[in-house]
Amino acid sequence: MSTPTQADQDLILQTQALLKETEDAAGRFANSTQAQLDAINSEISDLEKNSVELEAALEKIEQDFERESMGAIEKFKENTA
Amino acid sequence: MKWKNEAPKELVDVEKPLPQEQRGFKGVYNRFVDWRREKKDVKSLGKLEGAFQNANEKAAKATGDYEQSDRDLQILIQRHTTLKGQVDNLRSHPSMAGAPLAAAEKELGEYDERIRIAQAERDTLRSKLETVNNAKASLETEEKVIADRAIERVDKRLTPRRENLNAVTSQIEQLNKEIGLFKLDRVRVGDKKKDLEKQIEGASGWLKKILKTDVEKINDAVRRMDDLIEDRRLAVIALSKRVEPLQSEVAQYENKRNRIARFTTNKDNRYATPPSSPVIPNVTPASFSTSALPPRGGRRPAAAAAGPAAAPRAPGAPTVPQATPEGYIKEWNKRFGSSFRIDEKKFRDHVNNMHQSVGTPALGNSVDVNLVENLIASYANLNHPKKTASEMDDNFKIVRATITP
Repeated sequence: MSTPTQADQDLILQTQALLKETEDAAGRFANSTQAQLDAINSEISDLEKNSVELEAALEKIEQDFERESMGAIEKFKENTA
Repeated sequence: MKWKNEAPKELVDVEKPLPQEQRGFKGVYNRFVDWRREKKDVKSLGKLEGAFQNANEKAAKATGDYEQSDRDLQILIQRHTTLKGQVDNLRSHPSMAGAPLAAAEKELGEYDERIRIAQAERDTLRSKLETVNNAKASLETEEKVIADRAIERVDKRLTPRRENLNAVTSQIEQLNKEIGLFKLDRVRVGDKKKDLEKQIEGASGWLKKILKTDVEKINDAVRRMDDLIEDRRLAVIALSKRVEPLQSEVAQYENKRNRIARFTTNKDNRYATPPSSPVIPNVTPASFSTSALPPRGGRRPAAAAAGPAAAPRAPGAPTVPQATPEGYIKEWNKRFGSSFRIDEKKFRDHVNNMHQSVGTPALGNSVDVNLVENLIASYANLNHPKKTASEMDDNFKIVRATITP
Protein backbone atom coordinates (compact mmCIF):
# COMPACT_ATOMS: atom_id res chain seq x y z
CA MET A 1 0.00 0.00 0.00
CA SER A 2 1.47 3.33 -1.04
CA THR A 3 1.34 6.50 1.06
CA PRO A 4 -1.97 8.33 0.52
CA THR A 5 -1.63 11.43 -1.56
CA GLN A 6 -3.39 14.70 -0.82
CA ALA A 7 -5.89 13.79 -3.54
CA ASP A 8 -6.58 10.42 -1.85
CA GLN A 9 -7.15 12.13 1.46
CA ASP A 10 -9.47 14.68 -0.16
CA LEU A 11 -11.50 11.87 -1.73
CA ILE A 12 -11.87 10.12 1.64
CA LEU A 13 -13.03 13.36 3.27
CA GLN A 14 -15.39 14.08 0.37
CA THR A 15 -16.94 10.61 0.68
CA GLN A 16 -17.42 10.98 4.43
CA ALA A 17 -18.90 14.43 3.96
CA LEU A 18 -21.43 13.19 1.40
CA LEU A 19 -22.34 10.26 3.66
CA LYS A 20 -22.94 12.63 6.54
CA GLU A 21 -24.88 15.07 4.37
CA THR A 22 -27.13 12.30 3.00
CA GLU A 23 -27.78 10.66 6.36
CA ASP A 24 -28.39 13.99 8.07
CA ALA A 25 -30.81 15.13 5.36
CA ALA A 26 -32.79 11.87 5.52
CA GLY A 27 -32.84 11.88 9.32
CA ARG A 28 -33.88 15.50 9.58
CA PHE A 29 -36.62 15.10 7.00
CA ALA A 30 -37.89 11.85 8.54
CA ASN A 31 -38.13 13.37 12.01
CA SER A 32 -39.63 16.71 11.07
CA THR A 33 -42.21 15.27 8.69
CA GLN A 34 -43.15 12.51 11.13
CA ALA A 35 -43.84 15.15 13.76
CA GLN A 36 -45.98 17.04 11.26
CA LEU A 37 -47.83 13.89 10.26
CA ASP A 38 -48.56 13.06 13.88
CA ALA A 39 -49.86 16.56 14.52
CA ILE A 40 -52.06 16.57 11.41
CA ASN A 41 -53.38 13.09 12.14
CA SER A 42 -54.25 14.10 15.64
CA GLU A 43 -56.07 17.24 14.48
CA ILE A 44 -58.00 15.35 11.80
CA SER A 45 -58.97 12.70 14.35
CA ASP A 46 -60.28 15.43 16.64
CA LEU A 47 -62.29 16.92 13.80
CA GLU A 48 -63.68 13.51 12.89
CA LYS A 49 -64.58 12.80 16.50
CA ASN A 50 -66.36 16.15 16.86
CA SER A 51 -68.29 15.61 13.67
CA VAL A 52 -71.19 13.77 15.28
CA GLU A 53 -71.46 16.33 18.03
CA LEU A 54 -71.38 19.16 15.49
CA GLU A 55 -74.01 17.56 13.31
CA ALA A 56 -76.30 17.07 16.30
CA ALA A 57 -75.76 20.65 17.49
CA LEU A 58 -76.41 22.17 14.08
CA GLU A 59 -79.45 19.99 13.57
CA LYS A 60 -80.84 21.21 16.88
CA ILE A 61 -80.16 24.84 15.90
CA GLU A 62 -81.90 24.29 12.58
CA GLN A 63 -84.89 22.62 14.22
CA ASP A 64 -85.21 25.47 16.71
CA PHE A 65 -84.98 27.97 13.87
CA GLU A 66 -87.66 26.16 11.87
CA ARG A 67 -89.95 25.77 14.86
CA GLU A 68 -89.64 29.43 15.86
CA SER A 69 -90.04 30.62 12.29
CA MET A 70 -93.11 28.46 11.73
CA GLY A 71 -94.53 30.00 14.92
CA ALA A 72 -94.00 33.45 13.42
CA ILE A 73 -95.64 32.34 10.17
CA GLU A 74 -98.62 30.88 12.05
CA LYS A 75 -99.01 34.17 13.88
CA PHE A 76 -98.94 36.00 10.52
CA LYS A 77 -101.62 33.65 9.19
CA GLU A 78 -103.80 34.26 12.26
CA ASN A 79 -103.30 38.02 12.02
CA THR A 80 -104.29 38.09 8.37
CA ALA A 81 -106.99 35.41 8.41
CA MET B 1 -71.02 4.94 13.40
CA LYS B 2 -68.82 6.90 11.07
CA TRP B 3 -67.78 9.73 13.30
CA LYS B 4 -68.53 8.52 16.81
CA ASN B 5 -65.42 6.43 17.25
CA GLU B 6 -61.90 7.51 16.94
CA ALA B 7 -60.51 7.21 13.44
CA PRO B 8 -59.26 3.66 12.82
CA LYS B 9 -55.58 3.10 13.52
CA GLU B 10 -55.04 2.15 9.90
CA LEU B 11 -56.24 5.55 8.84
CA VAL B 12 -54.17 7.39 11.43
CA ASP B 13 -51.06 5.56 10.43
CA VAL B 14 -50.84 6.81 6.91
CA GLU B 15 -47.83 4.71 6.12
CA LYS B 16 -50.12 1.66 6.31
CA PRO B 17 -52.96 2.43 3.92
CA LEU B 18 -56.42 1.10 4.72
CA PRO B 19 -57.20 -2.28 3.13
CA GLN B 20 -59.03 -1.89 -0.15
CA GLU B 21 -62.29 -3.53 1.02
CA GLN B 22 -62.55 -1.26 4.04
CA ARG B 23 -61.92 1.73 1.87
CA GLY B 24 -64.67 0.52 -0.37
CA PHE B 25 -67.12 0.14 2.47
CA LYS B 26 -66.13 3.51 3.89
CA GLY B 27 -66.60 5.03 0.48
CA VAL B 28 -70.11 3.60 0.21
CA TYR B 29 -70.91 4.73 3.75
CA ASN B 30 -69.62 8.24 3.03
CA ARG B 31 -71.78 8.40 -0.06
CA PHE B 32 -74.78 7.30 1.99
CA VAL B 33 -74.08 10.01 4.59
CA ASP B 34 -73.74 12.63 1.85
CA TRP B 35 -76.98 11.48 0.23
CA ARG B 36 -78.83 11.57 3.55
CA ARG B 37 -77.51 15.06 4.32
CA GLU B 38 -78.42 16.30 0.88
CA LYS B 39 -81.94 14.91 1.19
CA LYS B 40 -82.40 16.50 4.59
CA ASP B 41 -81.00 19.76 3.29
CA VAL B 42 -83.50 19.89 0.47
CA LYS B 43 -86.44 19.11 2.78
CA SER B 44 -85.55 21.36 5.65
CA LEU B 45 -85.90 25.11 5.18
CA GLY B 46 -87.72 24.50 1.92
CA LYS B 47 -91.08 24.38 3.71
CA LEU B 48 -90.22 27.54 5.57
CA GLU B 49 -89.09 29.33 2.44
CA GLY B 50 -92.43 28.35 0.88
CA ALA B 51 -94.36 29.73 3.85
CA PHE B 52 -92.53 33.05 3.57
CA GLN B 53 -93.20 33.11 -0.11
CA ASN B 54 -96.91 32.69 0.65
CA ALA B 55 -96.77 35.56 3.12
CA ASN B 56 -95.12 37.73 0.47
CA GLU B 57 -97.74 36.72 -2.07
CA LYS B 58 -100.50 37.56 0.38
CA ALA B 59 -99.01 41.03 0.91
CA ALA B 60 -98.54 41.51 -2.82
CA LYS B 61 -102.14 40.44 -3.48
CA ALA B 62 -103.49 42.85 -0.86
CA THR B 63 -101.48 45.61 -2.53
CA GLY B 64 -102.73 44.62 -5.97
CA ASP B 65 -106.36 44.51 -4.81
CA TYR B 66 -106.06 47.91 -3.21
CA GLU B 67 -104.40 49.47 -6.23
CA GLN B 68 -107.01 48.03 -8.58
CA SER B 69 -109.84 49.40 -6.44
CA ASP B 70 -108.09 52.76 -6.32
CA ARG B 71 -107.75 52.78 -10.11
CA ASP B 72 -111.45 51.90 -10.48
CA LEU B 73 -112.32 54.74 -8.18
CA GLN B 74 -110.15 57.20 -10.11
CA ILE B 75 -111.92 56.21 -13.33
CA LEU B 76 -115.31 56.87 -11.75
CA ILE B 77 -114.10 60.22 -10.44
CA GLN B 78 -112.76 61.12 -13.85
CA ARG B 79 -116.09 60.30 -15.46
CA HIS B 80 -117.91 62.17 -12.71
CA THR B 81 -115.74 65.24 -13.33
CA THR B 82 -116.42 65.13 -17.05
CA LEU B 83 -120.14 64.72 -16.47
CA LYS B 84 -120.15 67.49 -13.90
CA GLY B 85 -118.57 69.77 -16.50
CA GLN B 86 -121.30 68.89 -18.94
CA VAL B 87 -124.02 69.52 -16.35
CA ASP B 88 -122.46 72.88 -15.44
CA ASN B 89 -122.36 73.76 -19.11
CA LEU B 90 -126.02 72.86 -19.56
CA ARG B 91 -126.94 74.85 -16.48
CA SER B 92 -125.11 77.89 -17.85
CA HIS B 93 -127.18 77.74 -21.04
CA PRO B 94 -130.80 77.64 -19.86
CA SER B 95 -132.00 77.45 -23.46
CA MET B 96 -130.36 74.08 -23.84
CA ALA B 97 -131.48 72.79 -20.45
CA GLY B 98 -134.53 70.69 -19.96
CA ALA B 99 -134.61 66.94 -20.61
CA PRO B 100 -130.85 66.64 -21.35
CA LEU B 101 -130.01 68.46 -18.13
CA ALA B 102 -132.36 66.30 -16.09
CA ALA B 103 -130.86 63.14 -17.59
CA ALA B 104 -127.32 64.38 -16.99
CA GLU B 105 -128.12 65.35 -13.41
CA LYS B 106 -129.67 61.95 -12.84
CA GLU B 107 -126.57 60.25 -14.19
CA LEU B 108 -124.40 62.51 -12.05
CA GLY B 109 -126.38 61.41 -9.01
CA GLU B 110 -125.82 57.77 -9.99
CA TYR B 111 -122.08 58.45 -10.24
CA ASP B 112 -122.14 59.99 -6.77
CA GLU B 113 -123.61 56.74 -5.46
CA ARG B 114 -121.16 54.55 -7.39
CA ILE B 115 -118.24 56.63 -6.13
CA ARG B 116 -119.46 56.29 -2.56
CA ILE B 117 -119.65 52.49 -2.97
CA ALA B 118 -116.25 52.32 -4.69
CA GLN B 119 -114.73 54.48 -1.98
CA ALA B 120 -116.14 52.20 0.72
CA GLU B 121 -114.71 49.19 -1.13
CA ARG B 122 -111.34 50.87 -1.51
CA ASP B 123 -111.29 51.81 2.17
CA THR B 124 -112.05 48.22 3.12
CA LEU B 125 -109.18 47.02 0.94
CA ARG B 126 -106.92 49.73 2.32
CA SER B 127 -107.68 48.59 5.82
CA LYS B 128 -107.01 44.97 4.76
CA LEU B 129 -103.73 46.07 3.20
CA GLU B 130 -102.81 47.84 6.42
CA THR B 131 -103.56 44.70 8.39
CA VAL B 132 -101.43 42.56 6.07
CA ASN B 133 -98.63 45.13 6.09
CA ASN B 134 -98.59 45.35 9.85
CA ALA B 135 -98.65 41.57 10.19
CA LYS B 136 -95.88 41.26 7.65
CA ALA B 137 -93.80 43.93 9.40
CA SER B 138 -94.15 41.97 12.65
CA LEU B 139 -93.30 38.74 10.85
CA GLU B 140 -90.19 40.24 9.29
CA THR B 141 -89.00 41.78 12.52
CA GLU B 142 -89.59 38.57 14.42
CA GLU B 143 -88.04 36.43 11.71
CA LYS B 144 -84.94 38.60 11.56
CA VAL B 145 -84.44 38.17 15.29
CA ILE B 146 -84.96 34.39 15.00
CA ALA B 147 -82.63 34.08 12.02
CA ASP B 148 -79.95 36.33 13.58
CA ARG B 149 -80.02 34.18 16.69
CA ALA B 150 -79.76 30.96 14.66
CA ILE B 151 -76.88 32.36 12.58
CA GLU B 152 -75.04 33.42 15.70
CA ARG B 153 -75.41 29.94 17.15
CA VAL B 154 -74.34 28.26 13.91
CA ASP B 155 -71.31 30.55 13.55
CA LYS B 156 -70.26 29.83 17.10
CA ARG B 157 -70.00 26.16 16.15
CA LEU B 158 -68.93 26.42 12.57
CA THR B 159 -66.29 29.17 12.66
CA PRO B 160 -63.80 27.34 14.89
CA ARG B 161 -64.29 24.20 12.86
CA ARG B 162 -63.64 26.03 9.60
CA GLU B 163 -60.54 27.58 11.18
CA ASN B 164 -59.25 24.22 12.41
CA LEU B 165 -59.90 22.70 9.03
CA ASN B 166 -58.07 25.54 7.28
CA ALA B 167 -55.18 25.09 9.67
CA VAL B 168 -55.01 21.36 8.85
CA THR B 169 -55.16 22.08 5.13
CA SER B 170 -52.32 24.60 5.48
CA GLN B 171 -50.28 22.05 7.40
CA ILE B 172 -50.77 19.50 4.65
CA GLU B 173 -49.75 22.09 2.06
CA GLN B 174 -46.67 22.90 4.12
CA LEU B 175 -45.79 19.22 4.31
CA ASN B 176 -46.17 18.97 0.57
CA LYS B 177 -43.80 21.89 0.07
CA GLU B 178 -41.23 20.27 2.34
CA ILE B 179 -41.47 17.06 0.33
CA GLY B 180 -40.80 19.13 -2.78
CA LEU B 181 -37.71 20.68 -1.22
CA PHE B 182 -36.51 17.29 -0.04
CA LYS B 183 -36.83 16.00 -3.58
CA LEU B 184 -34.41 18.75 -4.64
CA ASP B 185 -32.04 17.67 -1.86
CA ARG B 186 -32.28 14.14 -3.19
CA VAL B 187 -31.37 15.30 -6.73
CA ARG B 188 -28.41 17.28 -5.41
CA VAL B 189 -27.14 14.33 -3.35
CA GLY B 190 -27.58 12.06 -6.39
CA ASP B 191 -25.45 14.41 -8.51
CA LYS B 192 -22.76 14.53 -5.87
CA LYS B 193 -22.83 10.74 -5.58
CA LYS B 194 -22.33 10.31 -9.33
CA ASP B 195 -19.44 12.72 -9.26
CA LEU B 196 -17.90 10.89 -6.32
CA GLU B 197 -18.34 7.50 -7.98
CA LYS B 198 -16.45 8.77 -11.03
CA GLN B 199 -13.59 9.94 -8.85
CA ILE B 200 -13.51 6.64 -6.94
CA GLU B 201 -13.38 4.73 -10.21
CA GLY B 202 -10.08 6.38 -10.99
CA ALA B 203 -8.69 5.78 -7.48
CA SER B 204 -6.17 3.10 -6.56
CA GLY B 205 -7.35 -0.33 -5.47
CA TRP B 206 -6.55 0.05 -1.76
CA LEU B 207 -8.48 3.35 -1.62
CA LYS B 208 -11.49 1.79 -3.32
CA LYS B 209 -11.52 -0.90 -0.60
CA ILE B 210 -11.37 1.73 2.16
CA LEU B 211 -14.23 3.76 0.66
CA LYS B 212 -16.40 0.75 -0.19
CA THR B 213 -18.24 0.69 3.17
CA ASP B 214 -18.93 4.44 3.13
CA VAL B 215 -20.19 4.28 -0.47
CA GLU B 216 -22.59 1.46 0.51
CA LYS B 217 -23.80 3.57 3.41
CA ILE B 218 -24.33 6.50 1.05
CA ASN B 219 -26.36 4.26 -1.25
CA ASP B 220 -28.46 3.11 1.74
CA ALA B 221 -29.05 6.70 2.80
CA VAL B 222 -30.07 7.69 -0.73
CA ARG B 223 -32.51 4.73 -0.87
CA ARG B 224 -33.91 5.89 2.46
CA MET B 225 -34.41 9.33 0.98
CA ASP B 226 -36.34 7.77 -1.93
CA ASP B 227 -38.44 5.69 0.46
CA LEU B 228 -39.20 8.70 2.59
CA ILE B 229 -40.28 10.73 -0.42
CA GLU B 230 -42.69 7.98 -1.49
CA ASP B 231 -43.98 7.41 2.05
CA ARG B 232 -44.67 11.07 2.67
CA ARG B 233 -46.26 11.45 -0.76
CA LEU B 234 -48.69 8.63 0.09
CA ALA B 235 -49.24 10.13 3.52
CA VAL B 236 -50.23 13.48 2.01
CA ILE B 237 -52.68 11.73 -0.33
CA ALA B 238 -54.20 9.80 2.58
CA LEU B 239 -54.52 12.92 4.71
CA SER B 240 -56.09 14.88 1.89
CA LYS B 241 -58.65 12.11 1.41
CA ARG B 242 -59.53 12.21 5.08
CA VAL B 243 -59.93 15.97 4.96
CA GLU B 244 -62.22 15.93 1.90
CA PRO B 245 -65.40 14.70 3.66
CA LEU B 246 -64.75 17.14 6.50
CA GLN B 247 -64.53 20.00 4.02
CA SER B 248 -67.62 18.84 2.22
CA GLU B 249 -69.42 18.60 5.56
CA VAL B 250 -68.48 22.18 6.50
CA ALA B 251 -69.46 23.40 3.03
CA GLN B 252 -72.91 21.82 3.47
CA TYR B 253 -73.35 23.45 6.86
CA GLU B 254 -72.19 26.79 5.47
CA ASN B 255 -74.67 26.46 2.65
CA LYS B 256 -77.43 25.88 5.17
CA ARG B 257 -76.19 28.77 7.27
CA ASN B 258 -76.38 31.03 4.25
CA ARG B 259 -79.90 29.88 3.52
CA ILE B 260 -80.88 30.84 7.06
CA ALA B 261 -79.06 34.16 6.58
CA ARG B 262 -81.42 34.97 3.72
CA PHE B 263 -84.24 35.16 6.27
CA THR B 264 -82.51 38.13 7.87
CA THR B 265 -83.18 40.18 4.76
CA ASN B 266 -86.64 39.10 3.68
CA LYS B 267 -87.77 40.62 0.47
CA ASP B 268 -90.30 43.23 1.26
CA ASN B 269 -93.22 43.15 -1.12
CA ARG B 270 -95.29 45.64 0.79
CA TYR B 271 -96.30 48.95 -0.64
CA ALA B 272 -96.83 51.90 1.60
CA THR B 273 -100.36 51.98 2.87
CA PRO B 274 -101.81 55.30 1.70
CA PRO B 275 -103.45 57.50 4.31
CA SER B 276 -107.21 57.50 4.38
CA SER B 277 -108.50 60.42 2.33
CA PRO B 278 -112.10 61.44 1.96
CA VAL B 279 -113.37 61.31 -1.57
CA ILE B 280 -115.42 64.27 -2.61
CA PRO B 281 -116.88 64.01 -6.07
CA ASN B 282 -115.80 66.70 -8.49
CA VAL B 283 -112.42 67.04 -6.83
CA THR B 284 -109.67 66.61 -9.39
CA PRO B 285 -108.75 62.93 -9.75
CA ALA B 286 -105.04 63.61 -9.26
CA SER B 287 -105.70 64.30 -5.61
CA PHE B 288 -106.56 60.64 -5.16
CA SER B 289 -103.77 59.11 -7.11
CA THR B 290 -101.52 56.93 -4.98
CA SER B 291 -98.56 58.29 -6.89
CA ALA B 292 -99.32 61.76 -5.55
CA LEU B 293 -99.04 60.61 -1.97
CA PRO B 294 -96.32 61.93 0.27
CA PRO B 295 -93.32 59.63 0.55
CA ARG B 296 -93.54 56.75 2.94
CA GLY B 297 -90.50 56.09 4.97
CA GLY B 298 -88.45 52.96 4.59
CA ARG B 299 -90.99 50.74 2.90
CA ARG B 300 -91.60 52.27 -0.45
CA PRO B 301 -90.67 50.08 -3.38
CA ALA B 302 -87.43 51.22 -4.94
CA ALA B 303 -88.95 52.08 -8.31
CA ALA B 304 -91.52 54.32 -6.64
CA ALA B 305 -88.73 56.62 -5.57
CA ALA B 306 -88.96 58.12 -9.03
CA GLY B 307 -92.66 58.85 -8.39
CA PRO B 308 -94.07 62.27 -7.77
CA ALA B 309 -90.88 64.24 -7.73
CA ALA B 310 -89.81 62.86 -11.06
CA ALA B 311 -93.03 63.68 -12.85
CA PRO B 312 -93.48 67.09 -14.46
CA ARG B 313 -95.61 69.28 -12.29
CA ALA B 314 -98.80 70.74 -13.65
CA PRO B 315 -98.83 74.53 -13.99
CA GLY B 316 -100.35 76.11 -10.97
CA ALA B 317 -99.75 73.07 -8.77
CA PRO B 318 -98.47 73.79 -5.30
CA THR B 319 -94.70 74.18 -5.22
CA VAL B 320 -92.85 71.30 -3.63
CA PRO B 321 -90.18 72.55 -1.24
CA GLN B 322 -86.64 72.29 -2.49
CA ALA B 323 -83.64 71.03 -0.58
CA THR B 324 -80.04 70.20 -1.22
CA PRO B 325 -79.38 66.49 -0.60
CA GLU B 326 -76.28 67.40 1.43
CA GLY B 327 -78.25 69.83 3.58
CA TYR B 328 -81.01 67.30 4.15
CA ILE B 329 -78.57 64.54 5.09
CA LYS B 330 -76.61 66.88 7.36
CA GLU B 331 -79.79 67.82 9.21
CA TRP B 332 -80.88 64.17 9.35
CA ASN B 333 -77.56 63.02 10.77
CA LYS B 334 -77.59 65.86 13.29
CA ARG B 335 -80.91 64.66 14.62
CA PHE B 336 -80.98 60.91 14.02
CA GLY B 337 -77.36 60.03 13.31
CA SER B 338 -76.98 57.87 16.39
CA SER B 339 -79.69 55.41 15.36
CA PHE B 340 -79.49 55.74 11.57
CA ARG B 341 -76.56 57.63 10.12
CA ILE B 342 -76.71 58.31 6.38
CA ASP B 343 -73.29 58.02 4.84
CA GLU B 344 -73.21 60.72 2.19
CA LYS B 345 -70.93 58.82 -0.17
CA LYS B 346 -72.90 55.57 0.20
CA PHE B 347 -76.09 57.50 -0.34
CA ARG B 348 -74.71 59.11 -3.53
CA ASP B 349 -73.66 55.64 -4.75
CA HIS B 350 -77.14 54.35 -3.97
CA VAL B 351 -78.72 57.23 -5.90
CA ASN B 352 -76.47 56.51 -8.88
CA ASN B 353 -77.34 52.81 -8.75
CA MET B 354 -81.04 53.63 -8.62
CA HIS B 355 -80.58 56.06 -11.47
CA GLN B 356 -78.97 53.38 -13.60
CA SER B 357 -81.16 50.45 -12.60
CA VAL B 358 -84.67 51.93 -12.28
CA GLY B 359 -84.24 55.33 -13.86
CA THR B 360 -84.80 57.56 -10.85
CA PRO B 361 -83.56 61.10 -11.45
CA ALA B 362 -79.95 61.91 -10.77
CA LEU B 363 -79.56 64.28 -7.84
CA GLY B 364 -78.70 67.87 -8.61
CA ASN B 365 -77.82 70.61 -6.20
CA SER B 366 -81.32 71.51 -5.21
CA VAL B 367 -84.20 69.12 -5.73
CA ASP B 368 -87.70 68.35 -4.50
CA VAL B 369 -87.73 67.29 -0.89
CA ASN B 370 -90.03 64.43 -1.95
CA LEU B 371 -87.32 62.99 -4.17
CA VAL B 372 -84.66 63.21 -1.48
CA GLU B 373 -86.99 61.56 1.03
CA ASN B 374 -88.01 58.81 -1.36
CA LEU B 375 -84.39 58.05 -2.08
CA ILE B 376 -83.55 58.04 1.62
CA ALA B 377 -86.47 55.67 2.15
CA SER B 378 -85.13 53.24 -0.44
CA TYR B 379 -81.62 53.67 1.00
CA ALA B 380 -83.06 52.79 4.42
CA ASN B 381 -84.71 49.71 2.95
CA LEU B 382 -81.28 48.40 2.05
CA ASN B 383 -79.18 49.66 4.92
CA HIS B 384 -81.54 49.92 7.89
CA PRO B 385 -84.32 47.39 7.30
CA LYS B 386 -85.37 47.64 10.93
CA LYS B 387 -86.58 51.20 10.43
CA THR B 388 -90.34 51.21 10.14
CA ALA B 389 -92.29 53.33 7.71
CA SER B 390 -93.92 55.40 10.42
CA GLU B 391 -90.60 55.99 12.13
CA MET B 392 -89.10 57.20 8.86
CA ASP B 393 -92.15 59.39 8.17
CA ASP B 394 -91.88 61.02 11.59
CA ASN B 395 -88.22 61.71 11.00
CA PHE B 396 -88.91 63.10 7.54
CA LYS B 397 -91.49 65.50 8.96
CA ILE B 398 -89.04 66.82 11.53
CA VAL B 399 -86.20 67.30 9.05
CA ARG B 400 -88.47 68.80 6.42
CA ALA B 401 -89.88 71.31 8.91
CA THR B 402 -86.36 72.35 9.83
CA ILE B 403 -84.87 72.82 6.40
CA THR B 404 -87.80 74.21 4.42
CA PRO B 405 -89.36 77.59 5.03
